[in-house]
Amino acid sequence: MNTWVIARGTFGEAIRKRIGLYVLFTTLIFIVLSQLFASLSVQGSIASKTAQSGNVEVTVIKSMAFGIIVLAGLVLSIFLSFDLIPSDVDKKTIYTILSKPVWRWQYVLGKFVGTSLALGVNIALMGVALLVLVFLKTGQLETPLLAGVLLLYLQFVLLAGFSIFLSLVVSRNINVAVCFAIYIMGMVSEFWQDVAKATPVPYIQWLAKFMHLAIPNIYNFNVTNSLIHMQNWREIPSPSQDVFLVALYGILWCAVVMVLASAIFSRKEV
Amino acid sequence: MTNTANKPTAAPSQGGQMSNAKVAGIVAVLWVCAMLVQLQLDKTRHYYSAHGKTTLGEGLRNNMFGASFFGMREVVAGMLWVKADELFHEGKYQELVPYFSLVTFLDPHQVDVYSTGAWHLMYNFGDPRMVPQGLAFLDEGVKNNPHVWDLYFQVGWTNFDWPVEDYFTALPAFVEADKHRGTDGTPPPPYISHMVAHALMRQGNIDACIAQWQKNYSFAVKNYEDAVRKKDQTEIGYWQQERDVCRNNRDRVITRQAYRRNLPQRQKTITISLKTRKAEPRVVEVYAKLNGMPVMRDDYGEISNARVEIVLQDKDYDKLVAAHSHDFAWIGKHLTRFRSLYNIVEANGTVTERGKPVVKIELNKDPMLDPPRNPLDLYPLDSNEYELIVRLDPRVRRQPEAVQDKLGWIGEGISAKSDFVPGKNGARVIEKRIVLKKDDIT
Repeated sequence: MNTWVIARGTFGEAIRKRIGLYVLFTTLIFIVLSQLFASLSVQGSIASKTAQSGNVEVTVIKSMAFGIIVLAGLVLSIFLSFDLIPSDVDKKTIYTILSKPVWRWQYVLGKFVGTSLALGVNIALMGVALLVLVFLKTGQLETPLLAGVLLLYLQFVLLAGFSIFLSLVVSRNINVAVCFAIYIMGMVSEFWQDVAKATPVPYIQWLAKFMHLAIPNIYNFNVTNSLIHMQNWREIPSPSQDVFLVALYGILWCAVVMVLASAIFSRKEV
Repeated sequence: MTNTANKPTAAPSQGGQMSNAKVAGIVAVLWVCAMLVQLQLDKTRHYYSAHGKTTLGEGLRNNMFGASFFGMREVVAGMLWVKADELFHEGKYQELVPYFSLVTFLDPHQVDVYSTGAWHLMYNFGDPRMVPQGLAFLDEGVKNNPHVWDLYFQVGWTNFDWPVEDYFTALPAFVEADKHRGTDGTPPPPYISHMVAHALMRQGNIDACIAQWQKNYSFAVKNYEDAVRKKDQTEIGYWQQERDVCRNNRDRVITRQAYRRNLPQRQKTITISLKTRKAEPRVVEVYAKLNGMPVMRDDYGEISNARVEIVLQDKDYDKLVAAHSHDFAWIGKHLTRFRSLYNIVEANGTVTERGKPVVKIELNKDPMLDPPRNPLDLYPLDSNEYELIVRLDPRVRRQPEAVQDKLGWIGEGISAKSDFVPGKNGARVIEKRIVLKKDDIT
């Protein structure tokens, strides 16, 4: 219950933040403009003379929209959460909260849930804009796109979790830099699989495989290519099971980060 | 948790504090669970990623670039494709080719990039040396997009049509295309099964061709009847037309089969007289005459003219290409190939170009593009010996029907005494080759 109260407060605070509104509106405008960009990119080109010119436009629209959601989600997830706890400490509001009968883990979890909800509202609006845009272009309601948006959302939730965790141990600037580094590292985690395949040295193979499994594999959340080219999505044997597994993976990593953050905050002098 | 930490306190507290061992234990369990889930995810991950085997991508993971574009990989690929189009219109062809690899490396599922890129390479550049590169590009596209008909069809068409005209490679590609849905999830369009029939006909498998048209016709009839039941006027019109086309084509092939049945007993002996003259450096005039050509008339009694292909290329060109099958830079730098496809054979057998009884091979200018390319790049003339080929292939699409009425579907009407080369399925192609020295050209 305490967690929910803190989450609601954090959610309201996040929604009122100007950066959230700026990013949301800019994103929605860009998603709508992606249609214009798509038609301009096809107009007059060789592609416009082929039977697939419609496909090219839809590809560009989806690709741009997903790309914009990723950029916006990255900015939002990090900038909505990196300052949550430090600003409470700076403004001394944390004393008011912790003087109430509330566990510290509840405080940390409440902050995380509140930020996740705010992210959810933002990403959901962007997802709906994408769905409507594709519907207007193709006349088909491509609901699998929502699975892609959901997984991107989970990716941002995880990043927000990392940001909250890091805000307890490093300064704000370093927090932002490390979050971006985690994102990049997570996106290229398959690199370790390539290393494992390429090297003949057994212990490097083992190490590379371990690295691939041990670091948060953000690339798991990215299924956009198969959704941009819907023919690939249709070939996947059981996409719902895969989406469930990715979601489970995200939840497990969020749990890891939250346990660590709670443990650190419980030991922290404020 | 410690005893004091088990309950919320009224003061800023260390509430909820767990022992380090407990925290480590929980984190370890969650972490191991995440690793196990990751192992499961690795089994199906290939379905979701933009990975593909591209010439540029060997040993490189394109998702690494995807990360640096913050998920905008497909947008970047789209922008590069637009840039490639600009380069084409600016005539910067050499700069353009790497873009094909780059775009498909970033997004190997952009089917249209494969098809358009291959058409640039095989047709729009007007450089027959780039044909193997175009075919290789399409093959790569098929490997990366095996679940849709689009690129199988492109492979079929580019092998069916000039510049390849290999019906035995085209047919299985069309058959495969007809098994898959399109990028939009719709069934393969009827024209793919039409191409199966056309390819069978060009192979000389006429009975199989008629059977295929019959199959296409039955399919159209069934769909027409379904449309009538549904009272869908658009579908009715579409399948009615499709039904009529299939029936007409089937009947036409049956009629022509009957008409051409006795051609092996009425074979013509056709030989080629061939002379060349160096008009100026890099310009060779070809004087060719097909002796013994029958007069060919169309359905209305008008004289119909056969088309003759004239090729000037390095001696053993095909072997050289095969020896450098993936080294397109080498092929572009060292090999020479000129093709002139639509030369007319007049009633007296003279091969003409634009009404004149001479075909000019001009290796001193770009035959196609503006701004023109450097002819020294297009025709490097690196070898000492070249072969000049004059060829009349009765199978190809550019021949009028009347040619096949006299010479057969695949040359059954051409006698063994003719100047010919044997092809698959017993085909006979009228052809003569002579060797030219470099001095005869430059």
